[in-house]
Amino acid sequence: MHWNPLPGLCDLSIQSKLIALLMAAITVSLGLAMGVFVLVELSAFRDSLRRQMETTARFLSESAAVALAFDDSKRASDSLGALRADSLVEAAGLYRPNGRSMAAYHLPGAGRPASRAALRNEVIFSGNHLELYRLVLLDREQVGMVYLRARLRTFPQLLSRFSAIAALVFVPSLAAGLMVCSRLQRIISGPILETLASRDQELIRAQTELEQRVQQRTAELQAEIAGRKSVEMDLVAAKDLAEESNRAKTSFLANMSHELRTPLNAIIGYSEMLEEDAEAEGKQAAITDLRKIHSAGRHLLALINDVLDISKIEAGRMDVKLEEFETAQLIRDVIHTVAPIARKHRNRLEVRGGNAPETMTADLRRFRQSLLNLLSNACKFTEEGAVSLEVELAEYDGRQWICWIVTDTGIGIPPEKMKNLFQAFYQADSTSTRKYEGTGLGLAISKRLCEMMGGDITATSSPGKGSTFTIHMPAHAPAHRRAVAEQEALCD
Amino acid sequence: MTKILIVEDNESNLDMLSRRLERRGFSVMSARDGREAVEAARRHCPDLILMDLGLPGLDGWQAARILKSECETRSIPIIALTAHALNGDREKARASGCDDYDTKPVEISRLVEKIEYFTGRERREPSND
Repeated sequence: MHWNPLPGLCDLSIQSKLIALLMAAITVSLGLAMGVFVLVELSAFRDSLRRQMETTARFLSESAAVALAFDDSKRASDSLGALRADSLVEAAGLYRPNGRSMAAYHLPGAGRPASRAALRNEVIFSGNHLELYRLVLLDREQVGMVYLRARLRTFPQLLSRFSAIAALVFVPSLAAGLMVCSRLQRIISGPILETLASRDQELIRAQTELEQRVQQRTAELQAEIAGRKSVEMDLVAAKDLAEESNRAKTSFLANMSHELRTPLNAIIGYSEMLEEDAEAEGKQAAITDLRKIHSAGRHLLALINDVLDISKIEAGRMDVKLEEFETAQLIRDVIHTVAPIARKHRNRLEVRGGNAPETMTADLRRFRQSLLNLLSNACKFTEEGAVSLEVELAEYDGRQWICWIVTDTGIGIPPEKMKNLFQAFYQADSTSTRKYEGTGLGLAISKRLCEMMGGDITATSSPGKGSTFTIHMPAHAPAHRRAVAEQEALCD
Repeated sequence: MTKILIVEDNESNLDMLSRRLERRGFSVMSARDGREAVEAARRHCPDLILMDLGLPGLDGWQAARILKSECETRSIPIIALTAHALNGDREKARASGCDDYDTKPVEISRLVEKIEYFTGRERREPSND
């Protein structure tokens, strides 16, 4: 801690401090000067008093020398009597050489002169008195001794006078000093105060600016937060709306599916039933017509299924559920299903062994749908040719794949049509939709389904010679796709 | 004779399906909604139930759940029939206790295969879809 000699000084202004310091310095130096002056004056006074007394003593010893030599008391007293004129001497005495008093004198009220045994010259300052002893010589022979005592009564008076003088000098000096100080301190304090004032102003300005900036930034932040909140609310609202509309869309899909299939159900069912009746009754003409109705109904059903499938895929509502199944069973199943179409177009249907693994992991229903689509396409677009299915294990892109290769010897696909092959609502020949019954969605759906299961479908073709479609499925099942059970729950 | 309970709210579908099944030698009874289906199943103990899922009132899923929770009806096989083609229906039907699932419009030969499989007329694994 800093030691502070004058605690009160701290509270004063810098000017007052400067003045106080300067005044203190002046006071100390003036006090010292006055003290020295008084001491010097006193010392001078004492010297002059001593000299005066010594002179008096010399005169007295000269005048009393004869009286002392002749032991003449009367003359001695006379000599002493001359001292009455001297106001300084309050007591005096003459002593014989043996120390006995011969004559004495003292002012009324003053003490008698002291008796003296030892005879020698001596000056004693004691209290308020100056005592002086002086040997009296006559023709170099000691004849006695003079004693003088002066009162230093004037000394205190002198002191007070000196003090008065000192005060008279001291006070105006201080006043003058104060005036000079108060003027001169400005030389030092002025620049400091100016600097301080400008710094204060700068600080205040900086503080104000800082406060303004803080306020401004706070306002900006608040506005930003409010903006973000509103954006967030908008986003949440938009998300809710999107989810709502997605739910509505899914629900619409489910309802449409139901509403479209219910009347179709009746059309297909009744036409099948009537066909059975006509067959039983042998009405050949009716059978042909009823088959047309039945076939149109089936086609419409296939269209509805494909449109619903592609809508679900486009809406992101299609979910694949991976399961492990036996490849041999699936091959038997799809060959069995596609055989009637192959027969219809007089095609040879072959399955080539290859090195197919025993099991595969995929969404069985969706994979079967894709494979069946490729096989039935191959059978439809080939007349009196061969359609083959080959399954083999291959390794490329650093992974193992199960390749389902469907090859036909059909009409093939012209090169310029290849790039649009897997696009929705597209068939190699726009007129072919009529000739080759189908929706034009099958390949697009199949490819998207296979992609969803981590695989792909590729195609090569030479027009007039035939085409090869290959489904590439990962040999090792990819991570299970996100279940959307809760969304499906909304489908009914 | 194999007794089949058809639960179906659509008249033409019910008429068509029951006639086609009767023609193939099945004895057919019908119910129009889930409540009727549960009552008919309790009373007549059919050999198999063809259950439409989208029914008014008590729907097919709920009816199937009730039938599968009761001792006397638990053993009756239920084949769910629906026009719904969305993916989750198959799982929902299974979760409600249905033994199998088929989409409408039914392919009669496949449906008959399934019926025969479940009623033990012919022990043969029916093909899916």
